[in-house]
Amino acid sequence: MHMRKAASIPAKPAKRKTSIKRFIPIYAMILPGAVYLLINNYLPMFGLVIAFKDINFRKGIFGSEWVGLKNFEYLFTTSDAWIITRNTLLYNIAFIILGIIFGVTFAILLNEIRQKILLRTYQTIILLPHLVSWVVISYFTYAMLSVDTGMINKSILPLFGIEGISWFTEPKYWPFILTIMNIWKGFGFSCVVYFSSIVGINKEYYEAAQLDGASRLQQIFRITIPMIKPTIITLLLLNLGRTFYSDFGLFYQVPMNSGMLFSTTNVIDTYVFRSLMQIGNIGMSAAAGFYQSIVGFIMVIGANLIVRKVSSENALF
Amino acid sequence: MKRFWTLLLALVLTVSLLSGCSGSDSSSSDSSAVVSQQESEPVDDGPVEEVVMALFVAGAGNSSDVQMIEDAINEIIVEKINTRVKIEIIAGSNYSQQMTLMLTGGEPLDLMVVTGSEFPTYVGREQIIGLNDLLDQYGAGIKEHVGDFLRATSVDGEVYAVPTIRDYSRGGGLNIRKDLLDKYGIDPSTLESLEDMTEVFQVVKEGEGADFYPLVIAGAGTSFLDNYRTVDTLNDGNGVLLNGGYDNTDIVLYEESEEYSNLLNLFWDWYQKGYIQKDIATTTESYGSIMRTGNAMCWFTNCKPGIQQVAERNTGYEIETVQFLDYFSFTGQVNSFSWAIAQNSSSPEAAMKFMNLMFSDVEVMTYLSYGLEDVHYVTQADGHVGYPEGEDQTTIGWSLNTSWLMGNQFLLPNWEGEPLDLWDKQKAANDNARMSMALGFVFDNSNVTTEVAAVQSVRDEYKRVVENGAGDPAVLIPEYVAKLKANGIERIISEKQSQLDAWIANQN
Amino acid sequence: MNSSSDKRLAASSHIILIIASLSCLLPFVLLVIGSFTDNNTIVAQGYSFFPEKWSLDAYRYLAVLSAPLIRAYGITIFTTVFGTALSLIITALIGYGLSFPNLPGVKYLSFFVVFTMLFNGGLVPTYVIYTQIFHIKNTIWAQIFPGMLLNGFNIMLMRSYFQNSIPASITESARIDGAKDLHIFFRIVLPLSLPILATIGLLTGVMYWNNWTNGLYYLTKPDYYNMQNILNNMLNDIRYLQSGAVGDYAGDLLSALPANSVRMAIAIIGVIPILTVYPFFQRYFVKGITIGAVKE
Repeated sequence: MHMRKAASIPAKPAKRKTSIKRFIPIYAMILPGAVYLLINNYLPMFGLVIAFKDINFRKGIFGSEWVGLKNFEYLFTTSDAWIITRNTLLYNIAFIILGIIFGVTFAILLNEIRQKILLRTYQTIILLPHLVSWVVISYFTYAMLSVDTGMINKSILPLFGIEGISWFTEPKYWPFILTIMNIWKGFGFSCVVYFSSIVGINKEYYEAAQLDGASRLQQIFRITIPMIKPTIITLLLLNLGRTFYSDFGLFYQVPMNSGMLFSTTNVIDTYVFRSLMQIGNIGMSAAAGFYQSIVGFIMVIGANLIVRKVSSENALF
Repeated sequence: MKRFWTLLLALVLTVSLLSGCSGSDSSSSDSSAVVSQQESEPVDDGPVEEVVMALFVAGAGNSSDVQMIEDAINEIIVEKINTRVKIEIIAGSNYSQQMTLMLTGGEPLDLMVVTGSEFPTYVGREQIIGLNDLLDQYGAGIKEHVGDFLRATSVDGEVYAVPTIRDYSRGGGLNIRKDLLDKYGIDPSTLESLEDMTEVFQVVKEGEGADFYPLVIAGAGTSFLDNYRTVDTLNDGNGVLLNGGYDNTDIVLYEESEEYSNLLNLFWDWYQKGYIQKDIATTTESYGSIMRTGNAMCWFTNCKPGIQQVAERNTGYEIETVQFLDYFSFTGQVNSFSWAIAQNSSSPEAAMKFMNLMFSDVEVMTYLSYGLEDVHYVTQADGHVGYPEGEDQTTIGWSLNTSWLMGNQFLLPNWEGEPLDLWDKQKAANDNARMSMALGFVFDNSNVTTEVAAVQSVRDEYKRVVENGAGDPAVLIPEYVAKLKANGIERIISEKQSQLDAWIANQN
Repeated sequence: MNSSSDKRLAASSHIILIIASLSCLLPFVLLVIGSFTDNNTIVAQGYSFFPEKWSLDAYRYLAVLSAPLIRAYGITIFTTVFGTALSLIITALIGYGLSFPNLPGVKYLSFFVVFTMLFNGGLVPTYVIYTQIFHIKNTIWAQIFPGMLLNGFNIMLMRSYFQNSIPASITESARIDGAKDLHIFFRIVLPLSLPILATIGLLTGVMYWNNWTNGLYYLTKPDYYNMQNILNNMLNDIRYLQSGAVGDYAGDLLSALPANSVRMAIAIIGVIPILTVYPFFQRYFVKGITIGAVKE
């Protein structure tokens, strides 16, 4: 039994003229979405110029002066430039890799649950963290990590005979704390996506494998994982575009905006927010967004090229 | 046939998208319908002008009755100045963003609030217009009541905004629980300086126990020195004038000064002895909720007239306000909140006329600050006003309690709990304060935006820890200063000094 | 289940999922308890599963908001249902269209979609376009269209599903039988796509439900506030006042604001509706679709 991907009528180049005519209904289906993206995403792109201008309200966006790359300076000349870049990158690498591992694992586990009620219960509960905002979650983490009243210092550490740790002044614990929190918030949600792919796998494959005597575990590794590989790759490629972005709530709220933790919790987004708090320079905040976009763009294009060479049908474009 | 349906479906979907987007302008038709019913014959010739006022709202209180307030105000001002006002309620957290959007979107906007830190930026990017001519023509009330303090919102001799009338001066001190002072036999009049408090803390801590932390934070996110201020911040705290700028114009890096070290060493000493709440650097609570637990005694405050009553209302305890620093006034204190006219205002004259009423007309001011009589507030026998019987801030539809933002609050009757001579006292504190020699100087940071941004991030890293006594100054101050310098603070200071010197030369 | 290793797998699955569920549930329970805790207890002793003092104050405080909240609930429900439905249809259509590898220009069209995820003009120009050209300010459409109706991520996920999870043999045989594309899409492909539709429906629905920024920027009158606008107003104010923007006025302003327990209650009110509705949609994550008609 071999697997085939969905394809339309195989079209040879010679047939191109009739092909286009034949595809008109397909173009019609694409049209509404394309129109929306044009209005919502492409029309506003003229705003990208703001990153290069010194906005003056009397002159308006188009009349304002060009200032070249001046708005970008503060991103690079700060003594923290390396730290925020390093933090952003490392966290995102960890988040992406761990996110895939946890998402796929839990999707597979959920697929093993036979009892419908239990399945729905698990699915609902693990989705909870995603529904709540970081502000609220930060109340919970503060409840855990606060110096005198936090649950960990008060109830858990004493069980092991360890004295209370001042969590909010020690930067070294936070890469772990933030990573755990990020996974915790996201796994219930990302596993939903993988789960839908798994559920779509033809049952007959499993039946055949069972007849051949394969155990469930073997079926997972031989059938399930390979069949959701395209989904994994797609999600990976899509997430690469966010390489230089960070989840603001996670890095600002959860560490309680504590200055002593900056060396491991300051990322590009939080740096931009803090520095522009007082001076509110529109061009500078646009410049930050532009910088993050360019990096994400390069990452996605690069990764897409690689994927195209390896298994071209999974490339984004 | 199917192809036809395909196309039709696509078309319908696309059209529904587009038509859904061009929804009707229902909002503007509402208010104009209401107002046109009220229009009697206007006094002046010509059509009635409309002024859009973007009201800054942050904190507790309701604003759901805004339409009522708008109608009441319009009834009287149409006759007086041939103008109507439209009040837009904008959340403080979104205010600057919203102003930018409305202006770039070309929406009608006339009156807007400007905070002190934003003021130079707004002027620099021409977001607000110069007001000298308009003040001469229509701003007699403003000139009379704000007077010389208008220089705190002026650049190069042109006034760009009008500071709201409130505490133009500050004198740092502590709000202390009276019951504890009584319990330990401490006479507040003997407390003359911060060092005196060390002994007080020791006695109280011994008496109340290990879980009692006498000194707490005033507001989450602030530091002690925000309230216990001894310097003229010259807009942004990047380079300040010591001694409130009273007797010198030499800008120094405050964090390098001896005074800074001394203060922080005192705080650190207190922290180690358990006199300051342990989580002060990260807490999200403010003095109100902390005091109510009963485990705290005092916090730093600006000892302006009336603060004691505010403190008592927010904590439920009787409070003794102990002032350590004399009142002094500087630009940043005066221009912390002001009103300005937006760049694309369609009728600046009408806007100025209305602003003038905000600063000189009791009726307009009362509507804005308190609401409608007998609906939102009642007048009491002794001249105070307060919420109607059985109501409070959460149940009344207009209960913002920010009269200090609305214009000239000195015109208003006093709210219950405020001393009846509150306005006189505040005016005296304003007029008689020591003035900084740089009052009226506004720093234009457009040449050093990169450095200002970078420095701001450094401040966020250190300020709330070291200025709240939560870290060892001997270690942290050198680090802090080094990092500030590495991010260009000396360039900011030299830029500021040259601007200040030029400004001073111009004054003479 | 026919071998001991299978049984062990099943058991381990349950155990791991139970641990994971507890880790998600317990914090939530803590927050619920927090909303019923006396605020002084929270400030003095932190959150606890067994607080010293209980109190209904938080909910009493919020009861004042009940009138505007009910209308806001209605708004939220409408925008979520309408927005999600419209989004699903359009996303599915364009996702399907892009899943034809032989469509002339499909690579460019896919790039066209993905590019929107990488570059964004920003809030200011988006706002200008929606308010100046489409006049959606202070209308219900402001809660549906800007920024949310489609996004490249969902489109690409759909495309991936159509490409990989719909066997070509079915669509081919239908086409050979003479069926038109739209018919194939609605009658054959969509019914087989319930899992992805449910997934993206969930992603989109949650996004609409939780969105508070559109209301913040595009609505200056309370008529069309959704639930999160009202609830988040207070949380945003608190955050703003704590950020240092108002300097030392912060202490007095913050001290007049309601307390931690109220913030907990706010969070919970925002989440409960989704939790009650979600189980009903789970049956669309149907396991093991039988594709009986296909003969290989």
